[in-house]
Amino acid sequence: MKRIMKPLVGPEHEVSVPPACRATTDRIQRTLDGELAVDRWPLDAHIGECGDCRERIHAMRLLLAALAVPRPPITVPAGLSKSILASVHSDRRDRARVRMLARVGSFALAASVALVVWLNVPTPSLSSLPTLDVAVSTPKPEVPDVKPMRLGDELAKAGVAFRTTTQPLTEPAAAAPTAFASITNALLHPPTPMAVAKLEPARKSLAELPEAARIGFQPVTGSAEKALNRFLRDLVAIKPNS
Amino acid sequence: MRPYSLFVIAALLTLSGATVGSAASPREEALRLAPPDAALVAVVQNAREHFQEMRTSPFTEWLPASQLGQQLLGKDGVKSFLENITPLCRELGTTPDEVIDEVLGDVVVFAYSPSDAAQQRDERAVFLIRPRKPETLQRIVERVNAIQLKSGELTTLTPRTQNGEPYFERKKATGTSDFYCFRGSVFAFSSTEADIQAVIDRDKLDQAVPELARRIKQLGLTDAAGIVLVNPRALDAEFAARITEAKPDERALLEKFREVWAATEYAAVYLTLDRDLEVGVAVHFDPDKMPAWSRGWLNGTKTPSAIWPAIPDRTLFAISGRCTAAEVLDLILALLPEEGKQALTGVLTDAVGPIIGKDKLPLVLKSLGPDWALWAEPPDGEATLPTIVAALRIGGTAAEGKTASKAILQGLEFGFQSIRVAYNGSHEDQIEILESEDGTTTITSLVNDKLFPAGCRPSFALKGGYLLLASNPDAIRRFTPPTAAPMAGGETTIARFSGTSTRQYLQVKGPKLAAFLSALGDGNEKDLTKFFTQLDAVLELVDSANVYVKGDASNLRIGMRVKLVKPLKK
Repeated sequence: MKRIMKPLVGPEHEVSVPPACRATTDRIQRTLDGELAVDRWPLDAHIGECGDCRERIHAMRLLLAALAVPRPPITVPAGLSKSILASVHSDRRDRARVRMLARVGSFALAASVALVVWLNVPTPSLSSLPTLDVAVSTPKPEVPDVKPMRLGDELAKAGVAFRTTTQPLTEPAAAAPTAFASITNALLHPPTPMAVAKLEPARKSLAELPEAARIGFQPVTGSAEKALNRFLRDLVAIKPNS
Repeated sequence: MRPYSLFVIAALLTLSGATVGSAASPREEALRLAPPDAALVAVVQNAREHFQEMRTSPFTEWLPASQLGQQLLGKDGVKSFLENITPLCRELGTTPDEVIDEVLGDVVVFAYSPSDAAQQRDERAVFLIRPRKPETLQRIVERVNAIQLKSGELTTLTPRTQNGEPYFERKKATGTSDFYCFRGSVFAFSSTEADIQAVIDRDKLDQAVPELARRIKQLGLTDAAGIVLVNPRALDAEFAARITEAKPDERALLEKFREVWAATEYAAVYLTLDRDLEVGVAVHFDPDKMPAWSRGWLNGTKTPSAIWPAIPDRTLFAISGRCTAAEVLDLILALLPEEGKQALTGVLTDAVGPIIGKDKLPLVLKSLGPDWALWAEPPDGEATLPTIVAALRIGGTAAEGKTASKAILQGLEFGFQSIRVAYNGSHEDQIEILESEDGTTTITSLVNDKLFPAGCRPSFALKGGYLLLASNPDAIRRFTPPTAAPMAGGETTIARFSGTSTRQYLQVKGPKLAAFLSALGDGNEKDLTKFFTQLDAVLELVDSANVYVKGDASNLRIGMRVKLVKPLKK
């Protein structure tokens, strides 16, 4: 869910979330992430007082319902979900970027393990499948009489299931930067307030290096992200913004 | 005649006429139809062979017994995924195995270029498959069309032509269309008509070895399972725009980065699957365009650090390299903007110079290195944090080394004394400076068990021509100075990670570490504990990981080779 929603968060969507609403938007995010069930929400007087949050919750419920029941489609009011999700994400943009990098780093391992897992699960053979009502190996001029299935919906469901499958690998990868930073901070806590002030200008200049490198690679990373979105949209029928 | 029938006939005619006389490999067959100027080209190849070899591998047989294997194979894991795709496969009259074996098992290519407002160019993307059995893919495509026409997802399927060659438009109920064609054994698909038309036009060109295939070969990635080729020239405009938008401080650094970017002809991110798995980046430079400050760092033959043999096997992770402090300083000064240059030079002259001796500073910077290493050992006893050790060779001639060693030791002693005085002046508990002997080596340590975490006694020593800094003096005692000179060339290890040691450390110290970090305000204990538990499950799969670099005048490769606990292939 986090990955799918990320492209929504662009400069044009950035809105500030009032401090009073942050607990609610955080719960919405956790619920959309699958970490918190709707029926486990604590009682919150703020929701009764805040119309914006009530709208956010309404939009979240519509989104969850739409994801849970692909057919018949549920129409989310145009623009509403975007603005809600942008609100939820506005204070999480940086973390999402770090998580994405970590996920890219873990992709190879995840892909390889997923491949191996696949090999461990017995898959149905062609001969074990129910006989189809058309001879599949011979082209027929007529459209076969098959039960109408919406392939786009089925592919989207398979895509969501795949993401769920790889969570045991992607979650620790996403949390790794934060944990690593904690350990590094602990090791680098200065034992005394040594005269470090003189080093500050140089430190500041050196601290620009990673950010400059990040910007320098943005044409590649940004294009890769766009390519992935296009791939999902064209072939797996997953809308990046859904 | 209905459009569906037209499609079948035209596609079969195309298939029957174009596979004769082709000596190209499946990869070359697909890549000759891909746009050579695309920004990114993803290639997945030989999936069938990888599947077959991994199907009976020791790792595959072992995985179900692991924590992660049980999670992945459980009801919320792959089974759930298969439950979702099984009805799909059934509807399409195929199986996952058949799709891998006969359709996707040879080569799959996805080429992409972002839109470019300056050149008024739209986003472009095309998907190419070179199946082993085109008739299987043909059958699946027919089936997809039939089902989607029946369900109303497609409204029409219309044959079209480009320079007399057939392709098909699939008009969707949403009003958009996508397009596809078969060219020889290769299937092409895109949601932009111009891309399919371009595939047909490229098919008529005579390309002995496609440019993209040549680049893969040049980068040494012909055996990689997955490759994403990057064409920097297609991204030049976007790169220039980023520099324009950057803040002044960042712009100066990006201008330096642009020099390397301009010298980069092409690059790739890759994945190889063998007994171990490897991910990495390979870059091809034009050596004549390389900026002077980057030579030697990015291209050229690499030499491993001499310290590797001295780093203990049980180390959690280690990084090591070969460069002097003076070389690093020159690189940093070349990269920094003017203000940063002045600040760093000022620190060296005004802060470090008086401590080391301004006259001796150039000699010290030249003598520090070239071999260096930094590593983390699992802690002993009650300690929670890993023991961190840094080792730097003191190089130069015997006389230079002696002068530099003396200046460095004096500087470090001054630093330790400054820390002690600054702290003791404002605290009841006091820092002691202890000296202990290790043969002919004197180890100097800061001691305060209230201030420092358990097991932490910052120490330094000069041992066998190496300056050692460690968070515990025992690590210095264990260090055996290496004597063998490193061999230049080939793959040079620059970092090492032990999955088994790290896992053992986290199993024993994980809860204490989470509590310790939380008490310091560096994270929530519950979240950290959860992370360590998840990490434990992932590390169960990993024996070790090595990061290496390899280069010559025009190529650089940085790869991470992951050795799993059991071989990925026999």
